[in-house]
Amino acid sequence: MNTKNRKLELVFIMILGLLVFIAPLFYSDLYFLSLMIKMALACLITLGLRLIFLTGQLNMGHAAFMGLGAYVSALTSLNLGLPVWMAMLLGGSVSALIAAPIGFVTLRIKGAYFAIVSMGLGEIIRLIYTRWEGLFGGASGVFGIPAPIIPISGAPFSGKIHYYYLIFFLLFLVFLAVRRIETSRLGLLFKAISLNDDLTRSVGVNIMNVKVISFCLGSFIAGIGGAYYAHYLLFISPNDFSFWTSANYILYIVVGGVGNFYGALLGPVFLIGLGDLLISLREYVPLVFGIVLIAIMKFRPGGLTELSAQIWNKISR
Amino acid sequence: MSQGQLFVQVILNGIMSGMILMLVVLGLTLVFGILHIVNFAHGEIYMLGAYVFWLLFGKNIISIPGPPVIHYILALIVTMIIIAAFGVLIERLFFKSFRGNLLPSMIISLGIILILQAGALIVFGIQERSVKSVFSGTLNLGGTYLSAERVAVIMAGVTLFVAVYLFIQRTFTGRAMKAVAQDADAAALQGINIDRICSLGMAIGCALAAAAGALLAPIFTINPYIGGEPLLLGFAAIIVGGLGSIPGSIVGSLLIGLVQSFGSTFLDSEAAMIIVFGLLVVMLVLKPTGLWGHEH
Amino acid sequence: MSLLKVSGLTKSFGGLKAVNSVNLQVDPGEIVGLIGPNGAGKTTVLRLLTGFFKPEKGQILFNGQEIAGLPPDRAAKLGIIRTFQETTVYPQLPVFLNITIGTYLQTKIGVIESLLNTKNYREKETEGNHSVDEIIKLLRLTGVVQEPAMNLPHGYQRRLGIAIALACGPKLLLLDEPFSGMNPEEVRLLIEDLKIIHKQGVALILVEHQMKAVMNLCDRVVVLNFGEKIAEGTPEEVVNNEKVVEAYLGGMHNAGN
Repeated sequence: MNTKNRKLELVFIMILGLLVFIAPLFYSDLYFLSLMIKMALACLITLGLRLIFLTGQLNMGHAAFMGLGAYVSALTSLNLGLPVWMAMLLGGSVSALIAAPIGFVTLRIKGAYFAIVSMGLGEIIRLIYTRWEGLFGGASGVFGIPAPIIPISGAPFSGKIHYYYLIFFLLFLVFLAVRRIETSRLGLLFKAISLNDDLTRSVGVNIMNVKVISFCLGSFIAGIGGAYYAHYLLFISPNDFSFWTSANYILYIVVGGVGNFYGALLGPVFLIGLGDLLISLREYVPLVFGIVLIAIMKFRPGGLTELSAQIWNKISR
Repeated sequence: MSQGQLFVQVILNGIMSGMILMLVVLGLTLVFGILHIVNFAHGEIYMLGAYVFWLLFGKNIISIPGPPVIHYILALIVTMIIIAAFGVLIERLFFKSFRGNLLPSMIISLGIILILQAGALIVFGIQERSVKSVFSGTLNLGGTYLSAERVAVIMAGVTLFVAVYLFIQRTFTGRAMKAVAQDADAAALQGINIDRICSLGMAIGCALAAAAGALLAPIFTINPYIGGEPLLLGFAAIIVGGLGSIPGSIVGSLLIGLVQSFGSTFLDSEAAMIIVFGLLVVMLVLKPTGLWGHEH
Repeated sequence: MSLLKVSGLTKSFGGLKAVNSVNLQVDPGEIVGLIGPNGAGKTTVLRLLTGFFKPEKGQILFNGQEIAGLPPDRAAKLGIIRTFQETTVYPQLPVFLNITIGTYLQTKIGVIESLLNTKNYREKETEGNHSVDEIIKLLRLTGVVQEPAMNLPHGYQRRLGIAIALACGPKLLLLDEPFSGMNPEEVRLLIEDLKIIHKQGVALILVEHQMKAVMNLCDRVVVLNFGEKIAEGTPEEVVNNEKVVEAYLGGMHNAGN
């Protein structure tokens, strides 16, 4: 990518960041804040999914690691009195740690078979949350999860505005990290594996190690997202992290566009926004999502990023 | 009920679950083998089969003279035909351009799940529906009592399975399907109409799933979300038995049906599922392609 | 000491011996040709050498170290690289990125330093880019640096495949029919490219049907038939060997092309 584009991108991101930062001054209603938080969280977790997808593995059990982060963070802060920021970090780390052995076993499998297997694995983990009542609270879940603490003042979060800034702060970090990885040599390695793993092995790359690295990093991000979710909703249960949750993230990334980094952001924003617009037609929302997904797959497989690039080209002519 | 009786009931339930699962899995395997796509919406086809059967038989929107058993069988057959046609429609509209592309077909099928589930919710509502059973009472088999309904389901399942098996092995069209599954290009060169065979494969696959849903309709209640479990269990059976393998499908389905039955009865349903999926993990570690599977 | 010493290499597939007790030796900087009719086992030998297959029997010593059965990435780390018949390149990526991936072993970039964009990382990156530039110049790919590999004509793709392999800094390069499907002009250019690589001190095992290339490049030639070695010697010796002529069924493949 040439430097002119990089600079443009940087300016664009800074403007966007500024807008996000000052938005609550103009729109302080809870509804707006909730929507933005929902979008930001979805973007964060989808970025984690994208990282894993860069090596060519479609993870249909992504929500399970989100759940792991959520439960670890919730339980350690609730039962062990860990400060929330530490619990969240722990949640992400445990997700990454558990992802490693799982990755070593399952990442040997490629493509569609891995997708099926990851779906099964996501279910197993969700069932473990449901069954292991002693630890995870079973089907009724964990409630009374402590809210995060505002730095310096020491008071717990008392309004949506606090959560707003926290999620965008986290999103900012994750955005930078994933963007950085993707444009670095490491990201090139990920892509090389997804494009031609035989050749990549021949040039001396240990494919399994690199795939596991991407899997762990992506699961860490999912764990952080899950932890945030836990301390935001203050209540979690196994059904929050089902196959359907994972499928939603797949939906986001596909509609946004799998070939482009910004697809991981466009997808969630577009779909959650759309869902919000149609909130009065509650039952029709999944129907619309399904149609959008199929339309994208059939007519613009590059997703919304491809679509917007085409529109941009047409306009600038 | 005595310990022995309980045991027999559990095995019977397990075989029945396994049988139903086998129909679902056979359908999935057929579609995968012939069209080389993965259809996650297969569970929703099962669900639609249950609803259509309910419309035809439970709600009696078309009244057919004669004993209830005839009505039952006719409703079953008509359900299968309707859903088979529906499946062909879906195949032509959505899957045709993705034949052979596993991942994209999966993603598209996710979209189809959303549409079908939401559609069912809108059209039929969230209330649980039920269908009265035609076969009441129990059969006495050498001292043990077996639910007539469950026996009927098993027999129907076996009949369908054998029918499809014979069709594939003995008829010209069936062998054409095998040819397309093995090598579509070579089959096309031999003059086989690939589109028609693919549609037929989809039709049969969906008919089987619909039959599974319809057969279970009198036993369990119907709601728009019943497609989820057969899908997950079906894939578990496929992972254990091996994708694309028919003997694997049989063994995998029966195994999972029995484990589920025993688990649910002697432990609880979640523990049963954990064991099922635990089997999956063991299989993945030892032989990722399943008992009968082969690497593609 | 010889760079590569293969003794008694054997591999069967379902009862059929694809490679039967083959002995082979390559000295540093040598170009050894491996020829034989179709199905003689040449590609299998290459796959055994790079670790894609595990040998049934036999020894493969590279610099005195046993490497039989080592996975391809470990073989690469020791200095053996292979270019495939197909899939030698990343079709969707531009030429320079293709070669950049090849520099992985030379630059040894880690995860943390990538993430943090450390000074170390940037140095390694610049070094890697240097190597890429050199190789692009060496193999005359300057005109197509930004072009996606799939848009390149056949001959250029082959050259790119060799460029990627060269970027790994190999001591021994295994080439699997790099000349197949090339017109005489492309053949001439590729022969020049391989001579350039040879001058860099890289040893080559060249599996090839194109006899002109074999005659032109190889110091020694080994002939396989039905998985067994039937002759060995200089190109001239081998061409005139009766057994070799017979093996090719009464005529040399592409003789004199």
